[in-house]
Amino acid sequence: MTSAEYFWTFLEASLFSTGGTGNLPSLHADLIANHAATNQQFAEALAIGQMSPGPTGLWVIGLGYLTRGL
Amino acid sequence: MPDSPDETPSATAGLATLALIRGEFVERRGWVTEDEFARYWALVQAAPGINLLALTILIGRKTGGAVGVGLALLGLLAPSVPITILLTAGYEHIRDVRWVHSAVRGIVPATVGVGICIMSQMALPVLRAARARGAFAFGIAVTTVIVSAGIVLVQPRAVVVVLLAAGLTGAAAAIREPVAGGDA
Repeated sequence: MTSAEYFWTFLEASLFSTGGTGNLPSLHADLIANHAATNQQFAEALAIGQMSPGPTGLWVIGLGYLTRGL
Repeated sequence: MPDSPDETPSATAGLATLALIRGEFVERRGWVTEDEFARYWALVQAAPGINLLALTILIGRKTGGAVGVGLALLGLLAPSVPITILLTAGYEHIRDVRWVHSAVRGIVPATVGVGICIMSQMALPVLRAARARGAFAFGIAVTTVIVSAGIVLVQPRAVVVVLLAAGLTGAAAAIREPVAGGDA
């Protein structure tokens, strides 16, 4: 998965969903299918999103960090 | 800066932040009425992306115009984005520790409990208003809640379609309802 595809996956998932974790099904389907993330990384990112302050939607920051780093 | 509740660290993320914003703006300061808050929350359900961002924009606009929008977003994101990055970076170093795994798993059900509490607080004024409008409006509201939840449970990606359909149902039901008072 190229960086452009990776970016588009997140953009598309957020554009066509609502709520902090509304993008989860779409992201999960696309990233797992492309071997760009694992179920474990999803679980960890969601848990970090729950622990961190602010919107739950920031869980994607954790997912991005865990799958591609800074 | 101290007036922004969005800066307050919230241990269970979005739902706790939502509760803090509601408590501060609706209950403590009275800058936004309960009905306005419920209406804003209903409105942002149809917006793409993070609901709390859209809610923050609406509250910021109501309380401080364009500057309010900027300050509200800054208050919401300035602490939370870097903290999330730091938390993730820190987690990467301790992810293999057994108790860390268990702690992470324990947070999810706690968040569900907080979520149920907040959602019921937000649903009650809406359902009460529907009941005041009559049995038909109340029936439509309750049916919408149950059917929407059922559809999203079966098809999680149908959220936007469900919300649009619920909006159309509400509009169609309003046409059937007898006109009472001037609440437009």
